[in-house]
Amino acid sequence: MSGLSPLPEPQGPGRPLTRRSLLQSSATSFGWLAFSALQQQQRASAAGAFTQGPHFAPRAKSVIFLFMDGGVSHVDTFDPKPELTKRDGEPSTVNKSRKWVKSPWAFAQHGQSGAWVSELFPQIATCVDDLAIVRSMKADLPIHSTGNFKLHTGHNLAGRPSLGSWAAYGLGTENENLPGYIVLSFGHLPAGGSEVISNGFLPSSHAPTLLRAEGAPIENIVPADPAALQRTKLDLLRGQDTDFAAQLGGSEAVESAIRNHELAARMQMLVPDVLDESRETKATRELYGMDDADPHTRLYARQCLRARRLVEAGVRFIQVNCPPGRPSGVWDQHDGLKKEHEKNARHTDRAIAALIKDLGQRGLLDTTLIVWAGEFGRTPHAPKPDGRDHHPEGFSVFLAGGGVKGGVVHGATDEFGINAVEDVCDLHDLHATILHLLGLDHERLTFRTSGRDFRLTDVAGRVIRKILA
Amino acid sequence: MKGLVPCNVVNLFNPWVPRPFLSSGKILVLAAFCSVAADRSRGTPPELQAADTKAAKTWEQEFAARKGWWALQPETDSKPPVVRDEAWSHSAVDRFLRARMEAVNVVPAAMAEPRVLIRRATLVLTGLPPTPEEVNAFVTAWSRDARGAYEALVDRLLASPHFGERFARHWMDVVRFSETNGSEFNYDVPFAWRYRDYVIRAFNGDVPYDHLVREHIAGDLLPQPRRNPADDLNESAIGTAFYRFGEVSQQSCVEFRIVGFDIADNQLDTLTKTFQASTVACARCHDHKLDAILTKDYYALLGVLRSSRAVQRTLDGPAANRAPMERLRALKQQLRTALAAVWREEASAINAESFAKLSSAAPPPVGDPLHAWHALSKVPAQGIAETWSKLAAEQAGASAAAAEFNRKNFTTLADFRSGFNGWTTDGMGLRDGTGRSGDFAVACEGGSAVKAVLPAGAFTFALSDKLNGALRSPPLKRTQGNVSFEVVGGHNSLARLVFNNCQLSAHQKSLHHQDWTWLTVPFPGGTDDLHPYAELMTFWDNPKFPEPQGDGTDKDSGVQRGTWSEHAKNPRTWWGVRRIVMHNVGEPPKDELTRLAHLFEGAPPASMDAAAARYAQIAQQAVAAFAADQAGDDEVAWLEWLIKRGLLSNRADASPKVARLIGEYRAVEGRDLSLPHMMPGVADEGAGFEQALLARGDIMKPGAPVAHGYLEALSSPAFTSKGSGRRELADLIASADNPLTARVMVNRIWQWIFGVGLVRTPDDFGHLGEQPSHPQLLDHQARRFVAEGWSVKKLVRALVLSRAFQSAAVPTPSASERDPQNTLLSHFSARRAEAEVIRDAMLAASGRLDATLFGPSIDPYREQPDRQSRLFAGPLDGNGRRSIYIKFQLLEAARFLSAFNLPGGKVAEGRRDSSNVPAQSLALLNDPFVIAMAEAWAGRLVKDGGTSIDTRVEAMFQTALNRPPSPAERARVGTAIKSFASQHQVAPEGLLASRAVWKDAAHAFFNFNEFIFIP
Repeated sequence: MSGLSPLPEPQGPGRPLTRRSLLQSSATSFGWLAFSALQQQQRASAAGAFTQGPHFAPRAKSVIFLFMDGGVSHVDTFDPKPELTKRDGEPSTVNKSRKWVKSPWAFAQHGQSGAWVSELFPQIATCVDDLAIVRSMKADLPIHSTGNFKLHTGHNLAGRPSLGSWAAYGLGTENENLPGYIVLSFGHLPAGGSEVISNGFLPSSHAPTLLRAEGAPIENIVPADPAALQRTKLDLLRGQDTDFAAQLGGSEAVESAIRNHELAARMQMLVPDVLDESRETKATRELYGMDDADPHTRLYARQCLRARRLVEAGVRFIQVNCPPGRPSGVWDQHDGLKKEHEKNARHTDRAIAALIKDLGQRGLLDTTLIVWAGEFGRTPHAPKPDGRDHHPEGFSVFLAGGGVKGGVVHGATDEFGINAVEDVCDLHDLHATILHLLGLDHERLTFRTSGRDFRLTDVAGRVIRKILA
Repeated sequence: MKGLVPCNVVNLFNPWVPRPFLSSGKILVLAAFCSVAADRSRGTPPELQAADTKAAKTWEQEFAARKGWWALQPETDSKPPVVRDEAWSHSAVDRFLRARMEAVNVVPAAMAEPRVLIRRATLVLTGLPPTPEEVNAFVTAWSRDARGAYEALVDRLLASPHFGERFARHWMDVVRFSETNGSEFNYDVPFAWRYRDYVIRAFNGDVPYDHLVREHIAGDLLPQPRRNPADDLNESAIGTAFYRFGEVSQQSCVEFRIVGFDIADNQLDTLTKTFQASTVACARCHDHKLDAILTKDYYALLGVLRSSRAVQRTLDGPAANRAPMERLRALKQQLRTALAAVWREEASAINAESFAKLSSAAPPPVGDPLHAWHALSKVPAQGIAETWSKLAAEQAGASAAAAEFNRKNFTTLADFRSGFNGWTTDGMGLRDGTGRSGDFAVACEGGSAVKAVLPAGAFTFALSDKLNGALRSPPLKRTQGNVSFEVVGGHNSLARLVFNNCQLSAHQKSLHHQDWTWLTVPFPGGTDDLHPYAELMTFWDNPKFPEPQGDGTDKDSGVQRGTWSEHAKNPRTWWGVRRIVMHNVGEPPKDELTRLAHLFEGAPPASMDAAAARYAQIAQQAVAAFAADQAGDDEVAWLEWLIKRGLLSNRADASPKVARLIGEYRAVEGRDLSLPHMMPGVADEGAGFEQALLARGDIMKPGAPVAHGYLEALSSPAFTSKGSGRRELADLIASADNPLTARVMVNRIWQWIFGVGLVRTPDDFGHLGEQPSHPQLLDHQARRFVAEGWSVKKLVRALVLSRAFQSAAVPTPSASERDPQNTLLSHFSARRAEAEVIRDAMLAASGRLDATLFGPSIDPYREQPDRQSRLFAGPLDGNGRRSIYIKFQLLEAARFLSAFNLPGGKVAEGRRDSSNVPAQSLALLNDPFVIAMAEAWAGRLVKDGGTSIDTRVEAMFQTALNRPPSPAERARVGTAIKSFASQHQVAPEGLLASRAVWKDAAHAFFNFNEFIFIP
């Protein structure tokens, strides 16, 4: 972590966020004492609603969620189906007008574990011994927007908090100078829009901060005033805004705006430093593909590298979106499967593998949970040969690091890859597992609104224990 | 249980949501059931599976049940309830609200302070803060007669032109207003701003909402459109611009057939969400999962939309330019005579010497009359007659061969020598119909008298090339692989084929041809279901002008990477067309050379002099025919040739009389002829077509065609009109009998006033939306809205005059405890202002506001233009114009505004997010616009003659927050100002005059949360 200042001291897994550790980590930032006092006030006034956990010793400190929007085809990546190859072109059992479509890519076994990965992901294939591949994932509806809502918020409709907001709410942040929930974006939103990644009814301090791949990562991040002058203004604002909030009989909107002003001021100082790629070695740049000729490959590499740096800086939950493609989702290949799945794989494969290896080399993989998932898989059958449709009934995701057992293939779909049939996991189970690894009991992580305690997992969710290390 | 969202557990647990009486135990059971049943991935529990099969409803039963949904029922005739608290209940609205509060013992908040009231009402109704003078006047009046003063305030605000701006911006969110089409090249939606102005005028003029709906859906088809009294432009047609916003791909619709279907789908989605809060677009692939919407409904409506063409439309009425055009026609008559007089003499003077000057080494092409002269000049005198006969035979042979070739290989799509033949036209340049041969176009600039002598055909420039024109074919049936246009034209005029209404695809050829030319556009096969049509346009009529892609032949400008106005700086754009043909052969029709037949008539000349006399004779005949306005196409060709060869003079000063007439013509043309007024819209042209139902939305699987119509759940009859059916659709939606229309708009207006609608999901009144918090109140207001002539202003007035709107923003203890979401409206929910209000308030406080209404949009601020993406660099302060006049671009939102939740412009967004993220703080702290406004305000402050920090701070509070500071605030701000001064090393005596110090003070005020709140 040399060269990155003022970053927090590393904290051991499970070490609760104490006032002392916060002071240590933020002592060099401006206005810490003022902020700290404010924080105390808020904690007192919100009666513990600020954060909740952890409930038990976490295995992971941070999560990197690699979101594959549009739905990656499981039978073309992690779930080989010889039967499909054999019956290619024959009418499917699902619907006679739809024919079985074999994978256009060859599969091979990799690593010590011998897990199967198709030639779409040659680099990720070199990491299989770190991966827990879940082949029996089940989503709900075959619709992008509801699928994205379900994957992110556990619910089919807009309005609930996303996973990242829950994590930030549950554990707070390890670095008060940065938001707890960051979405590395390419400037476009997934189907369903901003509510897919929103904080829903959770306090807006747990809303995502979007960091663009190109240009200024965050608009207006360069301070207009010298630090001391800005501080004078911020102090004035805080006084005025606190009075204003009181005038309104307490206002969550104003209070979170006060927090945002403080956070913004600190982000100004820290973000450029955290994102400074110039300090990375040539080998690291090479590893991620930072200098690739294809701009999408290059920018995805940059976002993955940033994800690592943000983990180092103590950000709780980092989502990495894919470079843009179709508006419905970049992996949404109803047609052009061969060409476009290959293109998407080329954009992401190397950087994802690099991220896993880089975190490993730095000893961070143990405390960083990587989740790779789309909103659903793709049908093993289709009306035309070069495309597949939405398929929530059984598909693959993988997890790595952060307390996950490597080299595991969990669950199975049937011989054609249609239904998850063995160790079936649904998205609530995935959510429960992610929270579990963060030291949060999904049944106890609740927020009361509209007269009811809400959970990310609603009334469901079972931790997928077989993939835990 | 009718009308209950089956699985909306939130509502079930919310004690304030109306519902049939259920014990909490029953709710828990139901909730548990719902959470299981709603999650298909868990499968259906076995005990329910059995029940499922037994109780499986037929689709008819299911559909009948769905039709029972609350929003599809006629509004109930509910009377305002009796309340105990009569004093609180100013109006019917209040009675409904108070009764619900009374039922659960929630005590409403006290009345807001007058300063809060005027700030709130002014921001809500105009989007601008009141001035300190307005506040003071109101506070004084209020102390004398609170109710009277408030009513007067509301009436003043409703009459303010800024009311229209404020409500127009709300409405524009709903219809996804956007001034560019995004995608890759970010093409302009040319003149989209006219729609913005139209909506502002509509709200200011309180145009009845049902009429506004009619104009949006079918404003181009109304028998008696509204005309703007100020400029006589067609006002009603502008409504249809709303179809044209959103994302439009420039990809070829032939290669990517889905493009056009997606455009129509987006139109359908916007239309049904905007006016009906219905998600009809969800039925593209299957019947709606929950609502009473059939796939059939989707395709009935899709047929309506696909039968409507995306066009640029001329708004000018028949009176526009009538007088100058009449004058130009008259002058042309005189000019004909004057020119003929000059030409008559010149024609009779043609002799062998005249030709000597024209001789060239290489033989002219066969089509050139000089070809014969050239051949003669190469033979000895005794061979002249023989050569002539040979030439005559050659010409006759070539003519016959060309005629035979043409007859064999070409199918005529249109021949404009005999009228428009069923093609539709738009534009002032085509007002006179097709031209007879022998007309001519005056050169409106330069040294020439005549731009062209015209054969029979369609011409936009017969009077002036400032006039626009578009000509469009009926749907074409492809039988051959090419379409060729016989045209002249220039300056960004275009000939093209349009497939599937994709107005940005590039099956086109640009026109830059002074001489008649055949231009060929390939006509790809398998496109019948894309309903192709051919189109000729001046740039005014071209929805994809300027053309950032170029087409490799565009000699006017190549790829066009500038703004619309840069490329339109020279407004002269023109085209003419004679014929359009379809063919498979690789070349267009051949010249049949009929004009030369005349030359070879009769006995061959025996000498060069005799030959010259033959030419002279033809010239004299042509001029005579021209003088008598009886020239045929061949004579026109001769005249054009004679002019081109200098045998007839074409100088603007060819004679004193010609010079005078040309001068006058140009003066009238330059001074009195106004340019066209265009808008993006849609048009019914020719018969509409029925859309085939697409199995699972798959465009490759067309099923049976569906008759044009609307939702079956609303018992809509199939349409009978021949066109698109938009008229019938408009009548069905803009109807008091439609259970959705009034409710949806009342709910929107409620939301614009109170921040949250009675239905919190303004674009979805279906099962996936929320149910009304006060259903009877919603119905009562909807009925009243209709009864009061769909008057938006009357409804707004009633809501703003309600006691509920005038409540303080602080909840009472009972409200905090029992209604934390303020569903009951026991107090006013203070809210962060929208992006535009924040920016406008800064302009107002700094004194930089230019309150001008209307006009072309200002490009948003950018450090550098990105011309490739058509993102241009506008001024930092937008010239002080209100935010509604900042160009709304799909590819990139305006910089400062975008931090505060602008809508996306791609789909209907009836409710904006109001997120609270560090990006907003960063914008307020660091955005150059904010800093510039603080500087501007500081500039005014230091000149105000203030004598102390206190008085100036007092004035700043009045300007920015409409109230005086408390003593504590005065001290706090004063301290900060002194600190600014010391940090700038400004001595106390220089403090009042220091712009740096007051800039910091102003900047701080802009950062106060109170500054960006509607209190």
